[in-house]
Amino acid sequence: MPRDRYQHSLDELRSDVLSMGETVTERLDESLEALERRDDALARAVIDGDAQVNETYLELEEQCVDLFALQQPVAGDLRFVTASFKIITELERIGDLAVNLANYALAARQTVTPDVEIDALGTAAHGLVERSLAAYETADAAACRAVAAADDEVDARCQHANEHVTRALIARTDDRWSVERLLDDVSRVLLTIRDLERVADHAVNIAARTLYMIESDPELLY
Amino acid sequence: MAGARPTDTQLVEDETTEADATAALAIGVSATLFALAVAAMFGRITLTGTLAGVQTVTLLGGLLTVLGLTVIALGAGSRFGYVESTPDPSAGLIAGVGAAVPWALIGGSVASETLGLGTGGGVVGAVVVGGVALAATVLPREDVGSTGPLGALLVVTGLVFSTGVIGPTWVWELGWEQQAAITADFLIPVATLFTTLYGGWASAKAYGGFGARGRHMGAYVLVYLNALSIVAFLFILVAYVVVQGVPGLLTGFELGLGTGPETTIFGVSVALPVSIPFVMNGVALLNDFQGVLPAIVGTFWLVIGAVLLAVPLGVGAAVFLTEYAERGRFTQVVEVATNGLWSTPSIVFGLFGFAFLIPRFGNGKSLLSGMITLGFMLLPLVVITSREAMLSVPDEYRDASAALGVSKWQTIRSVVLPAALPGVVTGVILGVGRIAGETAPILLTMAGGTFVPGSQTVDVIGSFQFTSAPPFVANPALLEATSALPYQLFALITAGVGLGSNVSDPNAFRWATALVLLVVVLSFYAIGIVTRYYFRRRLKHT
Amino acid sequence: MSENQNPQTNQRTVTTTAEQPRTTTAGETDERTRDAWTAYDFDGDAKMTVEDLDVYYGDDHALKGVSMEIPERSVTALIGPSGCGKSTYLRCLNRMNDRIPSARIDGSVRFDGQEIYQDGVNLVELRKRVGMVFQSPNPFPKSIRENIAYGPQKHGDLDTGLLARLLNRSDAAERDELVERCLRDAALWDEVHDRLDDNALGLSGGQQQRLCIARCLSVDPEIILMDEPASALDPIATAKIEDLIADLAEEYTVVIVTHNMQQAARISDQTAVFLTGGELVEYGDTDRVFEDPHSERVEDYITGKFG
Repeated sequence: MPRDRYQHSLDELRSDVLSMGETVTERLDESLEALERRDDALARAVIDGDAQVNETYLELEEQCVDLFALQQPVAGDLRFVTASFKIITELERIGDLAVNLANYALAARQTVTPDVEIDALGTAAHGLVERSLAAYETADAAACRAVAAADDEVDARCQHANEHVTRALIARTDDRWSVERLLDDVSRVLLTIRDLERVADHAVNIAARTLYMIESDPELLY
Repeated sequence: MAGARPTDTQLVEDETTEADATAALAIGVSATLFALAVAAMFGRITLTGTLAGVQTVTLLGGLLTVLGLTVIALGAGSRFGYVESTPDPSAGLIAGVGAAVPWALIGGSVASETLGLGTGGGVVGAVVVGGVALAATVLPREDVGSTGPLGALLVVTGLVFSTGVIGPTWVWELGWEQQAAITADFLIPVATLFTTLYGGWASAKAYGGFGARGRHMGAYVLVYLNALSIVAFLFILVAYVVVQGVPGLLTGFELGLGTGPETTIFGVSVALPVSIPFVMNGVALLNDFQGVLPAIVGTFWLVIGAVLLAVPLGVGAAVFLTEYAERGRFTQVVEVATNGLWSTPSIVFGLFGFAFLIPRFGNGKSLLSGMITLGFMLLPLVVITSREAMLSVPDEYRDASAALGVSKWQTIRSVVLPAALPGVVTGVILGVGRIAGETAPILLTMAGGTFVPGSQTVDVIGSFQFTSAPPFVANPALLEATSALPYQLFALITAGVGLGSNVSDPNAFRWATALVLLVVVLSFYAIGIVTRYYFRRRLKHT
Repeated sequence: MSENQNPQTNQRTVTTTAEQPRTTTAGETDERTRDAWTAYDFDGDAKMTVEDLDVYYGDDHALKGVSMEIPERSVTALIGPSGCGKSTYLRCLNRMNDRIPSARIDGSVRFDGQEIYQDGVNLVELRKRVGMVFQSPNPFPKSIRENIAYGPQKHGDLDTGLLARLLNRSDAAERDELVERCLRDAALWDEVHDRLDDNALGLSGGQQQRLCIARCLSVDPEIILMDEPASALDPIATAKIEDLIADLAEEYTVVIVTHNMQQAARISDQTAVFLTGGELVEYGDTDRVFEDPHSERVEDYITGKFG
């Protein structure tokens, strides 16, 4: 096949993006676990691992720029490289959000508010990220759309969870804790929910860019 | 182009109109007339005889008249809009001059002879009539201008011939040269030839609808007819020689086993089954039939010797000039000298041989002197064509070879020379064609021994001997005077040398000699062409 | 050189110690800056070292003081506008400029440490080791087999002449082996293996060019110089040549002149930019030259603002 080396570079970019995606998904998983089990060591591992994620991000960015400058991709190849370029940004953000979650895990001393739903939300968001990366790997347009559709549900659940926490706060009759600690706790939980929603949004962005890459269809972009 | 066009130019032409058919027919008639005129010029048809049941002259005249009327009709048809055409506003100066010249000739000769006005009157008449014709061509629109005067010319000429005003016995004694006269035998075919060319030209223009396309058709017809005439001339020449020479060639021809002479092939003695005495015998008292075998063999060896001398020297010189010498004074001088040598008359070469070579080779005429002289005649052409051929080998090949680290001489030997070979062979062919037919050099350096009784065919191959003194190899046959075909022919024609009573028809003998010379030269050409074809094939696709 | 990471955009920028490209009013870059931009640091050995090379065609100063080191086993691209001297430079590397009478060459060119512009240099040997492929394919009007065997035969390494055949010492087997090896290395074997005795002029343009490359390989060079090898070819043939060059660079040192910048970007490891007047303005890793050239003139040339 002509342009062997160029094809090889494209394949390498794809597998590197997927590999970064795998790493980020793992970090997210670990941070959720740390949140659930109150595992400080795990949380710290996630925070320390962010430097590596950022470095990977810069490397992949350079890879994309090299491909643009040196190989002049067009058509499908061009959409692939531009999509990958944007997707690594989304992945880096997800990585940052995982660090946030790990920080919340470290900060939590005792739970005041029920966080059963957090786990479910976390699982749902995590699932979306995995599904969007799978869609990127297999270039599956239907899966992209499915991810976008599933996000609506996640948004609804986040909304519901927010309401639940707020209600629980308002309905609080217990005087055991001080107002500061209470506020700390609630704001931490609300931030967690918000960050999880953001994770899902980034997953949808990944799916949107992938759909554009496959079908040149900007429908999901905004 | 300025000027309104009366008819629209169509993008797509419809079916052939009647006008097209008429014009095509007119072209056909003019071509036929052309052929008839050429035939008349060569005496194939006589003016006094009949052709297709009609007096030749009348026929020619009639056809010319018809052609002229058709041309005028075509022009009129276009002018009055019956036919679609795209004429230019004027037929142009060239057409004008072309029409004016014949009219001027007619006007001048009529004025001076028929009207008896003498030379002055003739000139005035020529100018007046020519001027009118010029105006009549240039001033009106093209379709009228290019058909009117020419058509009229044709009609007038045709009527003059068919009504017998100029008949087969017409003669015009020209007062200013003794014995010079223009006879009908000359005038009628020549006039027919030229007027029919005009007619064909005008009809072709009409066929093309005048304008640019018409001029294109006109030029095409003219060029085509002329090219045909060249081919026809060549064909007629060859055919004439063949027809005249074959009876002489085949005198005493016998076919059958054992009729021919004995020859030894690979040590086996075989009698050839065919006997053509003309090419198998020499001239000898005891021959049943005389032949020109010595001359044939002489020509053959002459060419071989000349080629052997000229080709290595010539190609070597060309290699030096193109590849090694720098372009400067020296190469220019060599170029001029080579061109000069090529243009030197052959008798000068003969003189060179006579003065320089003969004293050095036994002080008598010899085959070797002839070979060397003709070799020097061939040399300049070989140098010129080889140089051209080598210059035309693209530099890219030389660059590629140099980039591979191959030395210059090897490059020349392996790439440049093979690529130039077709050109070199062409040069040799052309040169051989010239020298094989040269009489003067042979006359002065070689010829002799034709009609000496008992003259032998020179046997070069069998005459090599070893000698005790340097150069250790000698060939007395090379130093013998012998005959060659051009010389033979020359001797026969001019001296009418007695061939003895064995030759029944001397005239046929001469023609047969000419035929053999032609065949020999053509066969050298054929060998050369085949060789060149072979080399060309090797250079191009397999 | 210093690197900054912009925290907001996460982008790296690299600035050199020579902060702005220094240009005189005439637009020429001063020598010190130029020397800095053309000094190229690389690992490994330099196959060819050029120092201060000047070339004059009569009064025309075609190359001005070019200095350059060519790393071995890699692809070096020379780019620049027409008439900037890159072909002239290339032809100096195998002394092909000697064939032009009006050319005068000053400076030093060292091949594997040995000066090639000195007396006593065996040109035949030099051109065996430094091969060249030209812009228009120029196979000899001979068969494919003969084209490839030409070089070794003329050098006396292969003897397949009549005498050798009669004496049963013909190298026909070695010749056929050489032909196959060269054609395989040039990615042409599959297409022509069944018609090796056909005339080379019957091949398509791309095939002819690959044949010329195979012919160049037949004398076992160490460096292959290519003067715009694909400029006369269509895109598919060009792609095949580019793939071939990448393969060749694993074993040979390739120096390629091209007016097609994208081609240089695609295939080369390092790029040298010549600008009008025979000046070498910048030389470095290809990705750096194309993503962040030091010289403003080079940037203008690459982005198509002139030239």
